[in-house]
Amino acid sequence: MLPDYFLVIIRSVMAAFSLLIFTRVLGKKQISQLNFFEYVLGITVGSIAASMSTNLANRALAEYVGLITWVFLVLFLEVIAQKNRKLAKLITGEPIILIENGKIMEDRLAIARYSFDDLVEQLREKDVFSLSDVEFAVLETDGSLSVLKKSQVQPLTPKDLNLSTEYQGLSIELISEGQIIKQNLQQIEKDEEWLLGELKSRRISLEQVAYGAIDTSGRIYLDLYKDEGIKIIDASDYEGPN
Amino acid sequence: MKKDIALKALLYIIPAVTIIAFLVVLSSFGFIKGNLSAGKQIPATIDKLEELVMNEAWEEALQEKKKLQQNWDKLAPPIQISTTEENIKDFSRTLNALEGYLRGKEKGLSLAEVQIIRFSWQQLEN
Repeated sequence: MLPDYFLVIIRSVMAAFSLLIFTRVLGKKQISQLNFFEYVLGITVGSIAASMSTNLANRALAEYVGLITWVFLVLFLEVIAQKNRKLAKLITGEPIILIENGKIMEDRLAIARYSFDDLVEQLREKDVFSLSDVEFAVLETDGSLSVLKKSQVQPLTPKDLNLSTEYQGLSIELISEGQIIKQNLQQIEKDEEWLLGELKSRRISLEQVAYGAIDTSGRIYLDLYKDEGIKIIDASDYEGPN
Repeated sequence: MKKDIALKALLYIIPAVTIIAFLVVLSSFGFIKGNLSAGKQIPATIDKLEELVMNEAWEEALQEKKKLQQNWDKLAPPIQISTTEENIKDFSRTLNALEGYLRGKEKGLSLAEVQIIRFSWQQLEN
């Protein structure tokens, strides 16, 4: 007979790879973006996978079928929520306005089972320390608070001063760990020869570069493996592994 | 372009095949039971054991039990992944108890153990 630990290894490998596949299928929502239902579903799926991995008293097939069922249930509800707005509201709930035109809505606080302390704490997390600065505060379905400050206390932007600004898009990665990312070079309609020329003009070889990227205005950012002229500060007072 | 499409298709096919392969492995008990020679012989051996115990042919019954044990030892490792630890241990425990009753020439108790072995064999799939 096979020893228990060998069965646990086989079942764990199956559970881990399956979870990897299922989490990719379920999308890229962060924990902070999940509503309470999705959060509980996530915990349930993880618990079933853990049980499948180490609980030899249960048949692995039954637990695996349970795992697949829960994953497809989540997927099904997500698809429904995308297609039907009414059902989406039923499944995920809807945002609640807790502060409207600077006034705290006590009845809505009660509906959300929110105390004044909860509200003030979440406002502080949003860098709002005075309730008089708030025009609107909305409790989102994932439990986070969105805050619209009064126009008098909002930061000044270039638009307020009628200043024109340059377009700023995403930087494109060109070098990673000393390797040229050819696909990205093609995207910006450049070739390796051009990149090597740019490096040569800076008297840098490709092997020296840890990371390289180009922004939308054509500026190249390079980070070298050897950080010359920089005194590295060790801020840690802990000698163990990080 | 064709290479890109093939690569993208592979990225969908590999996870799907992986999940299906895991499902097949975890539900392989029925296949192993029906196709491995050790698995095919076990039901007939149980029937023969019952007959030998009924006729109180203790020496032959012990030989048949030995044969059952050998088949079980071959079958247990591949089915362990698709059944529970308890089912495997129950079957092994009952086989050991049967040997004791056969040696002690206990007809009633031996018959009871043969029935439990038959039941455990059916339960392995559940």
